[in-house]
Amino acid sequence: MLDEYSSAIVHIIDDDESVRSALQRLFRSVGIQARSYDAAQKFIAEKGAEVPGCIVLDVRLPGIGGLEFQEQLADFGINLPIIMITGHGDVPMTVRAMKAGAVDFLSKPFRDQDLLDAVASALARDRARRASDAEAEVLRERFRLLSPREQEVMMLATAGLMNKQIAGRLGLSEVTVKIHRRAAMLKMEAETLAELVRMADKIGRP
Amino acid sequence: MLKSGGGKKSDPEAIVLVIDDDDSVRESLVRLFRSVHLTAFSFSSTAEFWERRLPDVPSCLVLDVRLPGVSGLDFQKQLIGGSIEVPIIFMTGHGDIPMTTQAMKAGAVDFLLKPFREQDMLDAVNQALDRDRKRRLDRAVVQDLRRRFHELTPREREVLPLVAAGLLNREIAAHLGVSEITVKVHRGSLMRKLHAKSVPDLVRMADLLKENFSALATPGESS
Repeated sequence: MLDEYSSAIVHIIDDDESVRSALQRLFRSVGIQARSYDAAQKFIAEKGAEVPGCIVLDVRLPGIGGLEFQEQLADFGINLPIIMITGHGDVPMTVRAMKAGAVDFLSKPFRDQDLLDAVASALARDRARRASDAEAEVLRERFRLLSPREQEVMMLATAGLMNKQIAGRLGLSEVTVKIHRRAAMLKMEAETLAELVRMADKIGRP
Repeated sequence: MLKSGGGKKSDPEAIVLVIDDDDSVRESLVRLFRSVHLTAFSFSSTAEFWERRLPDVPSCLVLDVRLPGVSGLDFQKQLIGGSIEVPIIFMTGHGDIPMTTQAMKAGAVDFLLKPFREQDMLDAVNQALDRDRKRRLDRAVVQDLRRRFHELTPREREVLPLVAAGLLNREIAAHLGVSEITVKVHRGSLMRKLHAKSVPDLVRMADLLKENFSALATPGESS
């Protein structure tokens, strides 16, 4: 299962050198690339988030704690899934991490297989998010290539206005509206109005 | 069991369901909820819970992870298996991380270690009830749509995907081998029955139907 993710990178953030090397060894043994950092700031500085992957993070880090870091990543717009590990966990900490979106929370010592399962889950989640983000980005790119008028007509048409209403709203002739509409569909690569509606909805989402 | 009763005028707006085998815990929780005007029902076991007819209103469960008979986590699985989506808040006197993680992964709203601050419990309950209100609203929209879809005649169901695709009446008529007037009649009728104000409206409804009821894929389309 993990071998589908040969291009993904697991980022290990733990101040304990023995943990870092043990985890590196574990991931390498199953063919997953791993990078390790002894501090959270180093991960951010090295821009690890640009390739598919996930983060394995110790909750107790000097400087910035794992939970605060989780929040910071979100603020930075870094969406890599996170697996928390800890030697001294407690329930409130676990709940807080899980509510903040951690994929899993493992207490040391954990079984290797449990970590591998969590990583597989995390990488699957990351891949799915990238796919849907990529799709939205392709659509946004196409939309950007529409003329302003074409964009207006597309948004009004997908909101449900008829050509006549769009013409009235924009002060254009119906014929002109039809031309813009057809151009929009062509450039967006939508074969039907239904497809155009779905594209508009995907673009519209943040 | 949770869905019986329907939303009657006499029903509370929302209910909190407490399951704990410890009498004093149950009683103090019920007191706490009533003090903020929340209706609360309590049960000493999950068996008792299954037996009870409850109003069909926004609800949430507050239960101890360690219950005699069925563990809280197994009960959570049973609910999920029975498609009962009432949000759950777990309590425990002996938290352990694997249990907490499991509960959270399975969708628990919160997991509170006893003794917990009353405010934390109230915050969790409010969050859980909000979640349930939203879920019920979304579900009602889908059920309403499904009801309206069932009012369509077979012919209207054939015309629906063609209209949603944006085909002109003339094109639909050719496709189905009927007159344009017939198509117009079906189109008007199906839009009216579904309460669709435009073709894009119809597209979104058709997609919502497909998402929720793959068995109801309209004819002429692959689901």
